[in-house]
Amino acid sequence: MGAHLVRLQNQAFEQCIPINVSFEVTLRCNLKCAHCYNFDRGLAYFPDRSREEELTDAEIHRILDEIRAEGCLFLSFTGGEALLRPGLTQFICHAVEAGMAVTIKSNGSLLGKETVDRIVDAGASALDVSLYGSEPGTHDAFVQIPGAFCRTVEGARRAHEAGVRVRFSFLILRQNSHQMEAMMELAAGLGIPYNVDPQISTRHDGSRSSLDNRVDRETLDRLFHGPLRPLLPRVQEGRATVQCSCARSVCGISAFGEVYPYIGAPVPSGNLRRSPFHDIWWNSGTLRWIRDLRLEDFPACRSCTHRDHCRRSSGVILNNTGLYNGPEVFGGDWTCMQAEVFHRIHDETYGGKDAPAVHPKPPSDVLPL
Amino acid sequence: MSPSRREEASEVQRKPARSSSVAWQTIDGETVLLRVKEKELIGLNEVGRRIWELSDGSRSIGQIAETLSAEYRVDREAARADALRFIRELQSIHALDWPPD
Repeated sequence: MGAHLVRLQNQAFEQCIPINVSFEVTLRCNLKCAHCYNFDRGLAYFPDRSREEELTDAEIHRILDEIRAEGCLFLSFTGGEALLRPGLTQFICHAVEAGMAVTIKSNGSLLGKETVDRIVDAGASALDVSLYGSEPGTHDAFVQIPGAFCRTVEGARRAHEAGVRVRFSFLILRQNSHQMEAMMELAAGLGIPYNVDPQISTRHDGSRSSLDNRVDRETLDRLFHGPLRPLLPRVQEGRATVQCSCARSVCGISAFGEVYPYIGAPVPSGNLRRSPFHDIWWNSGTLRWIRDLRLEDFPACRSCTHRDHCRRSSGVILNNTGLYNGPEVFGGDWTCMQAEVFHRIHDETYGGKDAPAVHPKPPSDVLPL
Repeated sequence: MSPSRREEASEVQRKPARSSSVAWQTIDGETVLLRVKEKELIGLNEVGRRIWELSDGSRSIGQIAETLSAEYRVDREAARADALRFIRELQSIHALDWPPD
């Protein structure tokens, strides 16, 4: 069945069908994560914007119909903290009734019994829960809210037991790198799968202090030689392109109605308050430019010897370097160092051959649930 | 009328509805059903797609068969047998429900 999903995703990529949409339903959040890519959470809200400018319920319902008509199958509601959006239950019901599979990306700290029952009844099928440590001290300090760790772990457990497909998102941070093993054990103890991601981006408000939380080369090396070795990414041999699924099978919609090639790549491509999704998706010069990018358009990547090991995210690169097809030279972004480390560990481990298939490819590559 | 024919006659009065446990989309003319919990993807052929579209809880299996018979110009009995078989199959995997009347 996995092959069918790969074929479906490939078909969507080739034909530019936005089957994977991340929809930001609010920028509000009850936590203040130090790495947040939205905006510096020391501020009350996104600079020069107000909460009142966020899409209304009626606009969100209309947009749900528009993305569905364009081919959306996998829909993620994200934020901010999506659970803070009052109309979320109705959005989930609407999306599920229309035939979409709904994931909620959440910090998990608001998953009380009533909320879990509500999203289960509405038909949400999956929850992506961010966790930043194996114990309260690390997690709570990072999200700057006391008690958050216990509420998040309890919320994830509650949703898991209620039958929702829960997955933890572990971000590798300077603050938690020594707890990775314990975090994996915690997840295993709860029977909850996880993704591990080392990539951190500058914020959409232009501030860069989120990058202070990234691990250095030595730490990355130690982690992937140690507890994270089974998660070493598979080699993507002979990559003819470094282009990801942005603007092809993936699309993002901001809390203000901006269409992005991907929710983490804030390249304004058209606003849904002014134009229908169909028109933006097919006519935006930005989205068309992204779709037409070829390997030779990526100056640092086209001749890079680490390309087959690179987990490049164009959104992260854009935010960090200012260039969607950046960096300009090898080493111009943290991603380059990561690719070099992955390449070296891979060659040391497998003698230059591909890793055995038991090494998991992140499920989100195929089925974003 | 034999007991099995009576059962079938009663069954075709039922109105199948798409289950919320299944996501679906039509891409390039092909409809795929995703059984979300099972992570299983099922491709439907053209007639399957039409039955799926018509199974919105407002039409009986008999009415769906009538529509198929007219649209595909096939014998009513054959359309009914095909629709019944297909709907039973989807109902057995909980892709279709029988909403209360």
